[in-house]
Amino acid sequence: MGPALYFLVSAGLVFASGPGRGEVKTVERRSVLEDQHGYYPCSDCHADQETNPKPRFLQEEHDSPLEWEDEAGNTHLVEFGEKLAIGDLLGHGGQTGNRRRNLVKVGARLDVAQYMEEQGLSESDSVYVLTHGGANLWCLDCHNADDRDYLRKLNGEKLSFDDSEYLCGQCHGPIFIDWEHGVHGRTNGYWNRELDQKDVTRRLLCIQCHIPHAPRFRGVVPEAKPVPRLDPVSEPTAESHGHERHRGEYDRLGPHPWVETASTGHAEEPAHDGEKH
Amino acid sequence: MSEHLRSYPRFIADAIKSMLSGSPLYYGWIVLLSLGILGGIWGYSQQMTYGLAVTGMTDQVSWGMYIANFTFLVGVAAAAVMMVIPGYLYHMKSVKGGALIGELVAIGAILMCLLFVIADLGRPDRMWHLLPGIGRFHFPISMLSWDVLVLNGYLLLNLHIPGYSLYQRYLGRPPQSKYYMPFVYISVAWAVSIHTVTAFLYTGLAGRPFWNAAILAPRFIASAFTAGPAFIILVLEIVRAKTRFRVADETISFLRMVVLVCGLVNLFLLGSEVFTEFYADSAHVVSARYLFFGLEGYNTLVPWIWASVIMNVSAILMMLSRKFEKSSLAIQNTPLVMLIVAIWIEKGMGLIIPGFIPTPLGEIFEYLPSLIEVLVCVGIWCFGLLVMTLLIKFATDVETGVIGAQPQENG
Amino acid sequence: MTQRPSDTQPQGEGNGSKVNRRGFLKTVAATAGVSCLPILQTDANAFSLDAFLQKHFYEMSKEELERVIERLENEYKKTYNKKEFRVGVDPPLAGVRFAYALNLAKCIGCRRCAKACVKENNQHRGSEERGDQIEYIRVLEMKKGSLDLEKSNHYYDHPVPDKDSYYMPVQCHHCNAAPCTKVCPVEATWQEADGIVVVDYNWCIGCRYCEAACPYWARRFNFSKPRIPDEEVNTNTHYLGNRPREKGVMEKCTFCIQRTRKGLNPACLEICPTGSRKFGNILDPQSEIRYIIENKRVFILKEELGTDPSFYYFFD
Repeated sequence: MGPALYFLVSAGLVFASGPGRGEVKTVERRSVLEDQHGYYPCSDCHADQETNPKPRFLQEEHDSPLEWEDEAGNTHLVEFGEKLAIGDLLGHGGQTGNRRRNLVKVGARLDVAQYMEEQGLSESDSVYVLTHGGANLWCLDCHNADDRDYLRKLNGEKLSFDDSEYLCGQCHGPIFIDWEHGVHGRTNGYWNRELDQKDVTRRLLCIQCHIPHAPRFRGVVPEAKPVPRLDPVSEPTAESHGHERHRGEYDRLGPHPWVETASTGHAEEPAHDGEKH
Repeated sequence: MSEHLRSYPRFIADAIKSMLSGSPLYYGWIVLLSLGILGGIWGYSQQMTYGLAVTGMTDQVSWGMYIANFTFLVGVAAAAVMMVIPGYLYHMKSVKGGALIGELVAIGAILMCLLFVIADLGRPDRMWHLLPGIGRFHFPISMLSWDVLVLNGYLLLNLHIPGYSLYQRYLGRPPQSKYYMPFVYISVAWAVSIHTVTAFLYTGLAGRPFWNAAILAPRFIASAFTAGPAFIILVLEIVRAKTRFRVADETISFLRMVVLVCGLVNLFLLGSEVFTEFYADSAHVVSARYLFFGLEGYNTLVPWIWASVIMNVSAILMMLSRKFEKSSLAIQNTPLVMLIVAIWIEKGMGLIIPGFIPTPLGEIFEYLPSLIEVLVCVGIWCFGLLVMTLLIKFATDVETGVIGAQPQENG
Repeated sequence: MTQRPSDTQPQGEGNGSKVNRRGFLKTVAATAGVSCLPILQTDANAFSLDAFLQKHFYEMSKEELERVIERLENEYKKTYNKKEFRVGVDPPLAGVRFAYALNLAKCIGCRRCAKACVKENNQHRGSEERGDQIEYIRVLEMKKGSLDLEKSNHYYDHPVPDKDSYYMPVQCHHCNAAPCTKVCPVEATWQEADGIVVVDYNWCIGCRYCEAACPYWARRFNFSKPRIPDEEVNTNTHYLGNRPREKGVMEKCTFCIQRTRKGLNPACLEICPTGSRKFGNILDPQSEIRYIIENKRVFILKEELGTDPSFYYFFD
């Protein structure tokens, strides 16, 4: 259910080239867009904007509160705690990609720094702040200033948002190679792709796990710790018969909700596969 | 042959009759043991109903008091050989009577061992899986399959040897050596093997550094030949006091010598082990440190093992003292009791439990037996002691001529 | 116990010996009978001659196995609220030897693998009065700069990852020289041709020798009858894998045999949010697992024990 809901099959760009892929059926590329492959709306707003080539903090650029419209036409204010990156606006962030079309910009200004201070947020809490590459990186290293609907490779070539992993791979070469071999990142479904009749095996793209503007993962709350069979330290309770020791922690044995976290995964338990359901 | 068809059932019937007659004290003792057995049966029925969950064992410490007692009792059983060797092989006549008692003690001890193993099983209903041919007996790969073989074999040997000689005595004939001497020779080697194999159960596990030491088997033998004869001496003293069966002083002093020498060897081996562990002070020492000093505030076994060490050492010192031979019976038997208790701690709880602490993943998780576990253990001990009591009662009756093929009236 | 044998002890009756002896024996027998009742009762409820005489997995003929599976499926259906179970017996895939690799540099210790495993493999959720829940995977919080398992923390309960720690999940290593299968006295546990170490839950006698032998503490014992909520039970099972177990038998990780023999990834890998877990066929030179072993800094836990595991840890 999870990832497959967000990302449908793309027009069939296939990784067939990587060394060692051989006969193993390759993973099909997923478009980051749900239904309009190749459509990126940046130039809707930015087409006529004059490029300011002076490097500066990202938050100076996209610091307006954003609203989005649901199907019934109600507008909602996007809050800071929510997983919405600038990347989402640009069609990047997988997690909220299906809302992208409804995003509208409103006029009021917001002081990001002040807001963050009020909320007790650190820099790494906000995806509005570029926390990627330190001082060495700024917007136009990756974004194409001349055509905002495209990314820009280091050699100046235009690159579709659909192929963003090649952009990442420019700096993170070894990781990119590992990823190509399926060693870095997630691959779900079948270890044996020949047995994957329904074609459910998926390898996630860089941006499906990492937010491009704040790629480092934040911490998560772990699942409940194990509950040992007996705790010899605790005394048997009055109603026990000497062999039953009461476990105070027993109530934690209920079903564990799959904790949703900011950046390390998906809200739902990944689908195990079609066969089982 | 036809003669035996008539006389053997009578032998059995007389055995039962003899076992069930005795003084009020004898009855009191039997009743006491029966009560213990009933407690054990109740505890075991709880275990059958709720599973091993009623015990204190966990995935962290997956063997507990059952296996600890099993290990100790294999030693007691093996110790019978300490009198079989002089009694049968060197024809020390005075010791021969003691050897008979020793073998009967071994029968009780082996039965206890088997019961402790059965009590420890999660699925005793599936024991038939162990039968060669019908089940899938993993021989010779699994050390446990060896243990099953040697324990049952030793039980059969010890049923045959005293059983045969008692039957012949009952018929009033001298036992013919061709019917039992070969088994005596086998049983001597077999006695050593049961304890060695039991030691190998533990030493064979590379993942448990506390057990994975070559010294374990020799230590098992040494401690077995300390605690076992000590136990047999106490039994002989009782037999001497309560029956007309003659136990020679030489038998007792010979056994005391065995206890003393093996006790010293056992202490020496224990010292070697402690030195190796603590002087090298490698990561291996952690279980031994738990045993002797406790780890991170977990120290359940510490008072026990030190009590064991102190009893071990002071018992040996007492027995070495010059005045010991001339002191009263009570004083002479005190170190024996101390040695039995010390070795029961050292080889039972002191060996099995620390092997599991910390777990192979470094977790420190302590073990305490549950009440039900203790009840079952007491029940099995009572059963073993009951078997020993009944057998010895019968054997002494036969040996003293109270019963026989031409029965004299009891009383 | 209602009767006490001591009540019938000799109390100065003339020729009491015989009478008392008989009375005493009677009392003993009666009391023993009463004490044994719980055993008989429980066995009467659960006892089935077919189950009692059931053969070892590899000694059953095809027909016998089909009958056993039918019986098990009916039994499970009865126990778990009429759910339809499927107990598969998929054999090892030809030319496949499974291996697992875990990236210690990536694992954040979220324990989701352990919980996903519990759900997928129908593990005991803990009984009402005793907290004996079973998890095949233990996630160790290790101090950076040390591989000493004794310094690990099994019960951490704070947001992860902790900056001074790294995380090492441990589960069955499916050793090719497995100490656990060696010690089993009845061959109730063995390594399959694809490398999976399995247990025949209907053959195990519950001696727990394998649990003592395992250097990775990967085996778990059903101290009580496992409890699985009806709504959580996984009905897609394998005979040697996640079918519901019974009281008093050993169980362990089977690399999700019910999934992996169909080509699927194990549940712990599927859930892992970091992609630290990699699984595949080590005989396939194109596989991810081979790439890891050939190109990464791989190590084997407790390699000195010579267990030759199918489970590798690596860094990148």
